[in-house]
Amino acid sequence: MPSRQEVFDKVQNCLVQALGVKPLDVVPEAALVDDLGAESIDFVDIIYRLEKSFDIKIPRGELFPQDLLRNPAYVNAGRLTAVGAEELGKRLDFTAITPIEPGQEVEKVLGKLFTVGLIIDFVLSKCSQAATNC
Amino acid sequence: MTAANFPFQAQQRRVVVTGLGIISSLGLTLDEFWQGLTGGQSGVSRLSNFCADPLPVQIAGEVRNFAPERFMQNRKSIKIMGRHIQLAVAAARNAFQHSGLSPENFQPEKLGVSFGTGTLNAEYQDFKDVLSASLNQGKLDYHIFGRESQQQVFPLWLLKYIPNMAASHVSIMLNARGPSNTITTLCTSSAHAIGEGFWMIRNGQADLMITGGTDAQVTPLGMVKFYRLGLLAEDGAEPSQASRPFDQGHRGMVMGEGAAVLVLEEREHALRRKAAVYAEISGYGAAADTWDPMEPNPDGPSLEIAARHALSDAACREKEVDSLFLAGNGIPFMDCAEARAMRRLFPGAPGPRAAAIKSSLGHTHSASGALASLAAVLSLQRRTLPPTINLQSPIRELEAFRFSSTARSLEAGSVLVNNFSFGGNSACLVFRAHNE
Repeated sequence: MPSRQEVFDKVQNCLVQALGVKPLDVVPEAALVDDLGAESIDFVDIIYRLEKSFDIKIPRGELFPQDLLRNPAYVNAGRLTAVGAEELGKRLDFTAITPIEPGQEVEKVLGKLFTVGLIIDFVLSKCSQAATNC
Repeated sequence: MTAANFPFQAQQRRVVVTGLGIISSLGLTLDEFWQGLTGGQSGVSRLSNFCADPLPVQIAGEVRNFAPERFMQNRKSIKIMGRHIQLAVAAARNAFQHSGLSPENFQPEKLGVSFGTGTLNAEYQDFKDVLSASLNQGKLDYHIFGRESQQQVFPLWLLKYIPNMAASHVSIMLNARGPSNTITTLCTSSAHAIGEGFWMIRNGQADLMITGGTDAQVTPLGMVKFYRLGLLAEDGAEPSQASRPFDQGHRGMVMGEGAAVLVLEEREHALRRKAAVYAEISGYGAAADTWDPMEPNPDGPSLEIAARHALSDAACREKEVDSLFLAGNGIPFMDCAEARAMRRLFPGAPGPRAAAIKSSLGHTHSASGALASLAAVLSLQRRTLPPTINLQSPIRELEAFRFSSTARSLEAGSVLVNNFSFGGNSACLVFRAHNE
């Protein structure tokens, strides 16, 4: 298993390449969308770079739950339903987050939720499942 | 044909050029380009953007010192732009700034984009990893490829190269919500794009069109592709002397790259906002030879037809043409076909004044029509015709045409810009000095 610092270093490099930001901007608390300017097209790129850097496979929707946004059971009129909030919490069980309240605007939630620290937690979780050196 | 043949001419909307932008081997600004071109300089030199030592041809008109991040509003968009798109966006940004347009003086729905681009410039290094991993006993194993490609191929790869992405990025950058069109006809691409953009304004579908073209085939694979077709001039002692359109010593073309953009604007729209007007675009014509996939008909009939259509469209008589910007690229069968077509169009002696700017720039392929059009507009505005360098003894068909090895003055007439592509695909444009 790589250390958290080793994972951070590689994640930082991935985000610098994918988002055109400076290394110093990539801190654990930085949000990909709100702070680092990520757009939908960038998430595909970030996943590609994480897969190559850590030699892991990230199925579509596993890290960034795009499918959830399109499901009317989860999102209604742009806001998370109770079922949606619960589902999102389940998807992110690899990290510690404040419980997600239903009724919030989904764009605002996702804009803040996906931080550099969350990505590091995700990679560490994947590496432990794969029992590889990543 | 005369104006009398065109009863609708008086009612047509007139279209003028109000902005120019260029990224070229002679420089990254209008002034650098113009000073280099009229000063008889050559943008052709030994390749420097990649190691070319083993290549049989090692010269080209490369764009140097181009830093795309200087021109991009969104820096990370560079990762989904092939070099040809980066050049196009930079040229478009310069042209838009040059036009003096700002969001408050145009309707986004009436601003469109019409661009000429080339082939899908896929480079083998993009697939190096997946192809290396997919070899099985020296052969490409598609079973392995199917598995490896899922992790090795950059997921946004296609966006870097789809031909219409240059126009798309320009539309997004400028909030141009009118037509966003792309034409890919190799060497005539940008002339078609400018012509179609011109007609869109004249027909009322737009008030403003960002028109032009881009190409960046000075790559290892690009060099080899054209070399293997036998179209490149072999290296001589001096790279700047290798591109010799219409010279008896022409031996092939020299690769070039670049982008040029013309902001076309409905004349009244331009006058209302007190825009600087650099020239008027007055005619466009196009035709095809139906002869051979690569070589044109040796007599160049499509070029003659396209030129006659463009002059008719402009209600311009042959004798009113002050100067020609010839397509000449140094490939003997292309030069000779164009020369014969022009000799039929202008049979008198002395013939018209003429310039072949690929002698300075090499062949910029899909961008070449835009670079020549931009040079024609600057010629009309600055009353100066650029020289044709490396032309010591013109081929027989053009002996009567008046070339010059130095820049000379230009009268306030019309200028015909020729574009001639493989397979005898032709497009011609007519520009004239703007009549206040």
